[in-house]
Amino acid sequence: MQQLFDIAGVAGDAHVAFGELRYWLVDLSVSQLVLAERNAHNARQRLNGYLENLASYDADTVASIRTEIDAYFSKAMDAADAYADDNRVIGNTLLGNARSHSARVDEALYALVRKVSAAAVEERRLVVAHADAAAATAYYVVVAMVLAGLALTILVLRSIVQPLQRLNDTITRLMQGRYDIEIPLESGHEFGAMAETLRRFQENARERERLEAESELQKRRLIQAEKMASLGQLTAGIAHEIKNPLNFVNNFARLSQELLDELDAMLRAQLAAADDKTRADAEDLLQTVHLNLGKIHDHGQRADSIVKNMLLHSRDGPGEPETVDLNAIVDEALKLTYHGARAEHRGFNIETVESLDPGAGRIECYPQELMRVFLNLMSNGMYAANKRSEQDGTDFAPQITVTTRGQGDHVGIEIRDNGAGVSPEVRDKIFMPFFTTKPPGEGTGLGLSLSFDIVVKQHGGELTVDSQAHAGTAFLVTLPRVLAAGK
Amino acid sequence: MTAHILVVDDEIDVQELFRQNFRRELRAGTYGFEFAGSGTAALERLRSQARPEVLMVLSDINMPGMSGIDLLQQVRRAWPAMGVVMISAYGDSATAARTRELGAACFLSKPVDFSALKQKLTRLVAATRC
Repeated sequence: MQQLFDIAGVAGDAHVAFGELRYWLVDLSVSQLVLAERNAHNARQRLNGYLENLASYDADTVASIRTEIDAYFSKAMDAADAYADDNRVIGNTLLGNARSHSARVDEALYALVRKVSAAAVEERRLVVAHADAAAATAYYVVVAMVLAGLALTILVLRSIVQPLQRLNDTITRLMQGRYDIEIPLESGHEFGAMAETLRRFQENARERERLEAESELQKRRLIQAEKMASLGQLTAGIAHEIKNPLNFVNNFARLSQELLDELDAMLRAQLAAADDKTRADAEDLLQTVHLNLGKIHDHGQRADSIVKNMLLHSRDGPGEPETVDLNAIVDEALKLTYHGARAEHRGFNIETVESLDPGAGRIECYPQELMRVFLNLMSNGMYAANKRSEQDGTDFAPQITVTTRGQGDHVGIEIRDNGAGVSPEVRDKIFMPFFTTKPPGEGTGLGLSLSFDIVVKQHGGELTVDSQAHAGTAFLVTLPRVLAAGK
Repeated sequence: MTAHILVVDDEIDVQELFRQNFRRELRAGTYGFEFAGSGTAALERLRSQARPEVLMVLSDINMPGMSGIDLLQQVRRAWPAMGVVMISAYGDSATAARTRELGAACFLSKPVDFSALKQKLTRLVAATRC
């Protein structure tokens, strides 16, 4: 394109140079000056130079222009010569000839200039058009690339950032200790692996939580067992410590009574001989001391039985489980309790009613501990019935009813008394350690709580109480025939 | 002839108890009692061979220092002809069986039934005497 503009410029220069040539040839014709001739030659040389340049663009046109220029020049020179010779007529003719040549050259040059310019403009237009097209293409390509880039980014975001976001959320929640969440399924090898790892972590965490809860439960059970054991040890320790002094109290009280009796026998003769007052005083003294010693002995015995009770209840270490006849244990317990109560409370009597189901059969249990439970419940029942008879007087007939029942894989034992019953408040607390309704010194409050532990914890059974004021109390023991594994 | 019995118990008042419970027998000279406050003191007394010669030992099991069981073993080893009666507040069958294994003549639980003890002693003393 540059070339065409150059050529157009050269063509323009050629035109100008030709103009100059024409001028100087005309000037020559008129002035006949050598200067004019020289300038005309110069102009022609310049013109030829331009035309040579233009030949590369349009050789034919240039060649024909050259021919015309040559013709014009020669005719113009000839005309100048004619004018110099004063041959005006020839000169005019030659000049006229030259004029037609020059007109043709002018025309041709002008046309050439126009042509080259037009070509240059066209070329420029094409170039511009191409450039515009290219620019447009480039623009569309850029837009397309941007859009593609956007789309790619979105795809990448979705396939990487979103799973990462989900996994991050999951991790955050797991770190907060929320192990109950849903872990998303992830496609993609790496994310799938990460999700799997998190799932395993979640499993482990849940397992750990469960184990911790279990171990917490075990710990509490252990602490409770230890408390009960140390309580047992404490009461056993105290009981043993007390036993010795109590024995001495009882023994010396009894011995003193015996010695007093001997003294009494020894002094009988002397007292018979003494005056009435002396005798009366002496006898009174002897009797009082005897009575006192009796009271010491009685209270000593009472203390001793309390201690025995405590020891009975706090003996640690169960025996071996055995399969025994239930009715036999219940019957023996009732007999023991009955005779024990009669031995302890003078004038004590109670009607015992036994209703033992033959279908109760045999059960697997810890016989010593179970015996202790029945002794405890039965003695409680007898105590309640007896207390009511003390309050209500001779019209009231204390009664204790013991029932056994076989119920498939369980057995039931009910111990019912017709005592005064217990209020709902008492019923709620009745199995609590150290809770007792007995007056101070008569009960430790440990019997029922230990019975409860033996029935529920050791045998996996149930111990319930049903009571109504003025209608008596019934304790119901339910035991499985077979001890659960691991007991 | 007086049967001389060594009573071993860390409780001092046991002495008075025996003296009063056996007052008739003591007056009659059936028995004579000596008291040791520990297993070690008892062994010392036995080894000293002092007169009167000890015929039987009555010992508590639960004592500080040497236990009644240890004393039982040592007495049986050193003086096999001597009868040993064990008395204990722990009346459980396991302890009783153990003492019998170790050669105790019999086992009594506290509080001591003195009439039963007197009956047993009569039998044992007769058996121990040659």
